[in-house]
Amino acid sequence: MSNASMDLAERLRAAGITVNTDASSEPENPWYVKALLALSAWLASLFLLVAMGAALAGLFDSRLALTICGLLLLAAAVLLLTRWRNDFNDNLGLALSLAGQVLVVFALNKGVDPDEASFWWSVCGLQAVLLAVPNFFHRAVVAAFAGGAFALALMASGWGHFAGSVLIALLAFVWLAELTRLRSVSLCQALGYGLAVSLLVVQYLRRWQLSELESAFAVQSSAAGALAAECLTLLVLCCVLGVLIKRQQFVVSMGQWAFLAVFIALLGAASWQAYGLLQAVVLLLLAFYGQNRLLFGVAATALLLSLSSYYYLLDTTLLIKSMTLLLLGILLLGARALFCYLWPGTKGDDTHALEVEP
Amino acid sequence: MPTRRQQLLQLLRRRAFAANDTPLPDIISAAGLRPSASDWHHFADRLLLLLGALSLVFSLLFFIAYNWVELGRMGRFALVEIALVGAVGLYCWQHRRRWVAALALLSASVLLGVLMALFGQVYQTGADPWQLFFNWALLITPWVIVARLPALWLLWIALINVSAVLYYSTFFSLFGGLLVGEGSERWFMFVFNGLALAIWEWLARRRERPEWALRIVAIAAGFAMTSLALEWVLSPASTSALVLLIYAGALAATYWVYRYWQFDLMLLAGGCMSVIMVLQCLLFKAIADTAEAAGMSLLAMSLLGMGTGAALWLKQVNAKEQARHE
Repeated sequence: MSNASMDLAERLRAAGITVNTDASSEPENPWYVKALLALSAWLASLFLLVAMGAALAGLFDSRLALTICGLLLLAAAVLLLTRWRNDFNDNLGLALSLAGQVLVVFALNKGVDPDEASFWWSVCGLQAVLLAVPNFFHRAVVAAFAGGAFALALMASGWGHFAGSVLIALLAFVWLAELTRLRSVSLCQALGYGLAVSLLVVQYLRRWQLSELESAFAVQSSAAGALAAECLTLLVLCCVLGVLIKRQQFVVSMGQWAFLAVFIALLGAASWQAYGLLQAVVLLLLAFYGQNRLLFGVAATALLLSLSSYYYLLDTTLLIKSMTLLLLGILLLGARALFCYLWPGTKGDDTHALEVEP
Repeated sequence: MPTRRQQLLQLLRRRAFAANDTPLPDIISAAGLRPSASDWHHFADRLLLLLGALSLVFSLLFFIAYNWVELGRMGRFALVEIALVGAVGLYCWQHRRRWVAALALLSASVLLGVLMALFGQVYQTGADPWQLFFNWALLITPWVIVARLPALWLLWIALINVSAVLYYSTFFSLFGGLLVGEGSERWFMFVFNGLALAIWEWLARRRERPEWALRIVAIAAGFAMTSLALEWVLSPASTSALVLLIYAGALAATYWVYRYWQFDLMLLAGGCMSVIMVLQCLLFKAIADTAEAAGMSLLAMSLLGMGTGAALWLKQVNAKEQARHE
């Protein structure tokens, strides 16, 4: 065990918590090793698909053959990922699962038009079932696909505006539940990272491909739907703030509540124009609460993409953009000054209270 | 140094709390994972400040862009030169505050490039693009040496790389015909970045090692060498077999340095990825004309096998290194 972990173990023992550090175990693979494994699994699944297509002439022409082969591959993947676990089998299982999913989706495609909502709900249902496989990376990948399929299903059903809102609500639930029970830590992390990736994709589609998707699905967006979705996201933000204040036992005065209310209302108004702003703020809060650098990177990316794409797509002169940014900058710095006035804060203050001393 | 969150997750993975009745939230609280009130204050303060400052900076940029044509020659030069002098002035004034001074010098280095580009655009000097980047690198060299900032060194190395690639695209050779032919610019990238890496590692051995910057330089050198090796695999007639020898030597050097001298698991992983790509390409070429289904299956299995083998080896190496430090 590393020295850093030993220091934390000592700290926990001093607080009266039993920590068993006797069992030696190998250190976890860092992210770049996992990326190496994932990349080889992805590419291997492509080769497998080509191999199957070449070996079974007419595989991709027969819906039944696609379904049977896909389900067989998925069954083999589930066995490898649950019963016969080792590094090679984990990798092979992931490759077989990806290949199997592609075959099943191709089979679905033969029976149902991808422009129909039922197609995407079926894909989403398949991913939801596969979430039960207790392999971290497999769960994260499947969660990302499930999030994407869910968003497209909503879009095809004419509820596309709610995709981002529902995803951020799920993300908030998952990350707030992450470190509440020992058994659920790994599951929450896998779901959390997978859904975060799908949220970024949904934001991209909403900003840049909305009209193409709407014409493909033959639906029309409505302002009322968009407003309802933004209200839902606003509600999620308020709930997250409420949970964080309660969990950390902060005491908030009336003046501070008023500041928070006005700031959130202004954020909501801004998010109406700059899609994804509220979602990014929710992710930032969750990332900071969990001290999660990776999630923080996703949140920062979402925030920058939201603001930069808003200004890129804004159909006005550079002068107007400049003036609005100037106003925004002044507002933000003014909000900072007001924040520092309402919450003086002191260096090294470790108390869990935000109450302003009279 | 792992963060407290990473340390806690490590303990959770090792089931260190299995024999414990304490609820997990209490363990988290005792571990001090959650941010305190002052942490939240600091976070909100810095976030609002950063976003406000960025908004004002971009407001200024958009304003300048809107008025660019009306500004005229003198106006444009005055704008950039005032910003450049301001950045240098900030460095002189705040040179004791490390991060402010570093940021000021980084801004000055970037602004110098902007000024040179503006000069070339306004006066239509007819200089080749490679000259802009090369002269830019030359002029910022004293600042780079003085600042000792990894980001500045990376900027300098990047400028030299870009100028070499642009020179090659104009003259199809480097150094007056010394390096001629397809791949010359990649040879330069490999040699230059490899040398830069070696010198930087040597100089950093007694100081704080800027891991992220060294990795970027190593990846640039590795990328160039891997692409040369792949080119030899795919069309051996167009390159010399010496490529393979140099590639093997580079791999051996990478292994020795980053396994025994300055341990860096990420660069060892990069080396593994390079080997997997080259071997996979070799295999693909060997079976390209044979039975498609069997060949593709073989490619899939070999890729999985090599990926897993590499991950296992890296895990072992990491475990040995951690055990050595305990």
